[in-house]
Amino acid sequence: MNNRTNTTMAKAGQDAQGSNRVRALEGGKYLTFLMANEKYGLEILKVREIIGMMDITAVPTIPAYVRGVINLRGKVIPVIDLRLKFGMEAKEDGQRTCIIVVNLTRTLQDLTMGIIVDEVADVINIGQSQMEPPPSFGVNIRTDFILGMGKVDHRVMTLLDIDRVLSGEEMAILDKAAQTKE
Amino acid sequence: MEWDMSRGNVTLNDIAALIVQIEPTDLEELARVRRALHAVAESSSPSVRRPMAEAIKKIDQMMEEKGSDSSGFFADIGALIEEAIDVMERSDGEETPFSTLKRDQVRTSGQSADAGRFNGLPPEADPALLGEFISESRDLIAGAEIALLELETDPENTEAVNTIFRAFHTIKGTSAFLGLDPISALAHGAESFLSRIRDKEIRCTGGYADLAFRSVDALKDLIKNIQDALGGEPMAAPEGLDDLMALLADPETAGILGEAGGAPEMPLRLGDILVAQGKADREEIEAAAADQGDQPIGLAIVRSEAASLTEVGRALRKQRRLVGAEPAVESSVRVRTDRLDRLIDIVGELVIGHSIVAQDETVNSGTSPELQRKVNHAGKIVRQMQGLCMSIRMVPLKATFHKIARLVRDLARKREIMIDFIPIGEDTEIDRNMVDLVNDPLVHLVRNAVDHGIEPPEEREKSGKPKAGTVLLKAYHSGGNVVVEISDDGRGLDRGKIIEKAIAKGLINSGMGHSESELIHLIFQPGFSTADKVTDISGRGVGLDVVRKAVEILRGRVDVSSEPGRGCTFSVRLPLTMAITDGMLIKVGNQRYILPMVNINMSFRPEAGALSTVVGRGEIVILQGKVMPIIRLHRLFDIRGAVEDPAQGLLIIIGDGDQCCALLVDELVEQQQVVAKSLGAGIGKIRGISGGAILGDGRVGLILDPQGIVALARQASNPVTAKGVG
Repeated sequence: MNNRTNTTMAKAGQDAQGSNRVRALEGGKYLTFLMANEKYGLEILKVREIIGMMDITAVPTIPAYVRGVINLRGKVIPVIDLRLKFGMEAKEDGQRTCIIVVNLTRTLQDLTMGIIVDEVADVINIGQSQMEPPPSFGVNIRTDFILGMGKVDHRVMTLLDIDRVLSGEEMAILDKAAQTKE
Repeated sequence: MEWDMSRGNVTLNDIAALIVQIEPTDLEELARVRRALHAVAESSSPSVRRPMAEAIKKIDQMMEEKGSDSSGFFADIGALIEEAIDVMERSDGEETPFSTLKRDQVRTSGQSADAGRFNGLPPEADPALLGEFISESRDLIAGAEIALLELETDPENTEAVNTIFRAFHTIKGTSAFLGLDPISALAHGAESFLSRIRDKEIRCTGGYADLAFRSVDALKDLIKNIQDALGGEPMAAPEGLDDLMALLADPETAGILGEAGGAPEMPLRLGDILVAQGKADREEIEAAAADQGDQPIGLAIVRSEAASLTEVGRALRKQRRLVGAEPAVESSVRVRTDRLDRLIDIVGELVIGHSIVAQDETVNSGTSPELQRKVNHAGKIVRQMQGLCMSIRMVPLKATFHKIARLVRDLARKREIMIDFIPIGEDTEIDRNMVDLVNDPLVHLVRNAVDHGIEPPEEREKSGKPKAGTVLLKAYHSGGNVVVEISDDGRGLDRGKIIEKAIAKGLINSGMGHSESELIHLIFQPGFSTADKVTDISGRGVGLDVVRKAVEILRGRVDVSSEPGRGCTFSVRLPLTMAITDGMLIKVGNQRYILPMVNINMSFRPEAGALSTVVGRGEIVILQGKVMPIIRLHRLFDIRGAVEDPAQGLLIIIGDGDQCCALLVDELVEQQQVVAKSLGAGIGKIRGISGGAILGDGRVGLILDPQGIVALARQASNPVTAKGVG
C-alpha cells in the first residue's frame, strides 16, 4: 500500500471534522455506558430516554446491525445494535441490556433512534480539561464518529458523536443496501 | 283592574294581559289565571288546548317553586298563551297558507288517525319522497346560505343571487309537487323578493339582506318541521311565518330598507323592537315609556294602546331570543398536523396500555370487582377519546364540492349547454390528508361528465330528454368507506366504440365472451380513450387510467356503470382515512406481518397435486386452471421455523391479471384494522415492506407491500442477481 496516500487521507478526514470538534470539546454532561468492558459516553442532550430491553420486530433485508423496530409509545423507531455496528461480537441480551433512545440531528428532520448497549453506567460531568481529541489509529480504525476521549478517575472513555455513528451518508448507504440487497 | 273570571266569556287576550301585569308573588292572582285558562281550554279546539295545557302546567310548577326565577316562568307562560292565541286566530279563518295547513291538520286528524299519521303532512305524501326532498332542500339551503354570506361582502355578486334564487325555485317546485303548501308559498314569496334583487331593483344590503336571511331561516325551520312530522312529532308552525310572508311581499311599508342606516341590527329594547317591526309608532312608545312609572314597559305599551298585546308578546319573545341567542359560529383552532398525529399516536398507545391493564390477571381474577369496575370505566373514557381523536382529522368534502360546482358552471357555459348540478352530501367527512388528493380524480370525472357525457340541448330534445342535463355529485358513508358518485343523464358509454378500441389496442379479441361490466371497465386501461376529437362524438374515457391510479394510491376503487342513452355513473370508493389499513395478520415462522386486505384476492391450502416445479427451481401452483408462481415469504425474508411445505401452509393470491402470485405463509391469524406508520426516517424504504403498525399487544407489525414482494421474488429467482437467498 502506498503510505503517502494513507496519511493524506487520514489528514483530510481530520480536517473535515475539525470544525465540528471545537463545539463538542467544550465539555458538559455525558451519559456513560458499557460495551464489552469499554466505556463510552454520549452527550446527554442527545439522549431522550433509556428503556429496558423489549420485543424488537425484525425487519427483513436490512443490515444485521439494525435489529429492527420497536414501538416507543405509539411511534415506530429503528433500533441499532451498537456492538454489531462497531464490528464487535454479538452478545445475548442480558438483564442489564438496554436501549438508549437518542435524537439525531440530520439535515432535514430530527430522527429518533434506539441504540442497544450492554449496560448504562451513569451521567458524569466532563470538563474541557478532561478531554482529548481522538487518537489517530491510521486508516484501519475509523475515528470520525468519535468526539474525543474523556479521562475521568484514571479511566479513559470514548465520547461518541452519535450523529456520525449513524451519519446521513451512513444511513443513505443503509437505505441503498436495503434496496439492492438480494 | 277587576276581572270576573266566572263569567266564562274571558278571552285568551284577557288572560295574556293579566299575565303581563301580575305580580310573581301573588299566588291568588295566579290561581285565578289558572282557572281562567282552564275554562277557556275547555271550550277550545285540540290544537289550541295543547299550549294552554302546557301553560297551566307551568303555572302549577311556578306555584310550587315560588320565588325562584319567576321571570322565566312568566316569559314561558306568556309565550304559550301567545301561541294559543296565534293558533286560535289562524283557525278562525285567516286565509294564509299556514292556516290552510293547520285546518287540514285538524280536519285530517280524525280520518288519518288509523293510518298513524297525525302531523299535518299531506296524507298522500310518500315518506321516501319527502325524505329526499328534505335532504335535497337542506343542501340547497346550505348553498343559499353560503351565497348569502358572499352577498354580505359583495352585494353585486349576481352569481350568489342566482344561487339563492335557484335554491328557492327548486324548493318551490318540489314542495308544490309534494303538496307542502306552506313551504312552496314561502319559497314563492322569497323568490319574488329575490327576483327584485336579481333585477337590480333593490340591493341586497341592510334590511333586505336580513330579510333574505330570515327567509332562509324560516324555510329551514319549515323543513325541520316536516322532518319532525315524518318522525311522528306534531308539526308546529314556525312563529312569524305570516309576518315574514307579508314582509317579503312588501318590505318597504314595514320600514325595511336596503341602505345600511335604514335598518340597523335588531335593537334590544322592547319598544325599539316594536318600532323596527313596524308594529308601533315611535312617538307613542316613547310617550308610554315616559309615564310607565314602576310598571313593566310591556304593560305600559299595552295600556297606552301603542301596540296590541299580541305584538308586545311577540316582541318580548323576540327580545328574549336576541338576548339569549349566542352567535352560532363554530369556533375552531388551527393545530399543527404533526401534533395531531402525535396525539392520535399517543391515544392509540393509551388504548393498548389500557387493554394490557384490563387483561391483567389481578383485574380479571374476580377477587376485586371494584377494581374491575374502575378499569372498565376508564376503558369507556379511553374508547371515547379514541373516537374523538379519529374525528379530529376528519373534514367535510364541502370545499371540494364547491370547487366542482363552480367547475360545472364554467364548463357548461363554455360548451353552451345547460346543466343542473346537484350536489348531495357535501358534509360527508373524510381524512383531511385525503381531501386534496381526491380533488383531482373527482374533477377529472366531473369534467368528463360535462364535456363528453351531456349532449348539446338540441340533441337532448331530440331524444326526449329535458334540455338541461343533470350532473349529480353525491357523497356518502358506506361500510367504513366514503363513496363519491358522479352521475350524468347524458348519452352514456358507447359500448361499440369501446369494443372497437379495445380490439385495436389488443386488449380483447372480440366483444364476445365479456360481460357488460368487464367491457366498460376497459376504459380504465392506460391510453384508452374513445374520445374522437375530430367529430366530437365521443364515448367517455379521457385519461380514466389516471383517475384509477390516483384513486388506487388512496387505496380506493373506482367503478362505472352505464346505460346507453340514459347516462353513466362513476363511483369512487375511498377509505375514510389513509391512516387506517384494513389488514390481515399473517404468521410466518416466528414473525407476524400485516397484509392489506385490498391486496388479498383469496387464500387456500393447495393439494399436493396442484404443486409442481419448472426447470427444477421455479415453483408453481395451479388453481382453477390458472398457473401462478409461488413466492416463499420465509425465504425472501430469511425467516426460520416457517412452514416449508405449501400443502401444510397457506397460499395467498396477491396481485391481479398476469401479475398473480401465490404467497406462502404459515397461517392467517386475524383481520385487523391498523394504523399505518413509517418505520422511521432512519430506515428508509425497504422493498417488500410498506410500513409498520402497532399491534394489539403493543409490538410493531410490519405491513407487507405485495408489489415489492413480487419484484423482490422476481429478482431473487433470477440467477444472475440472486445470491444467498434462503
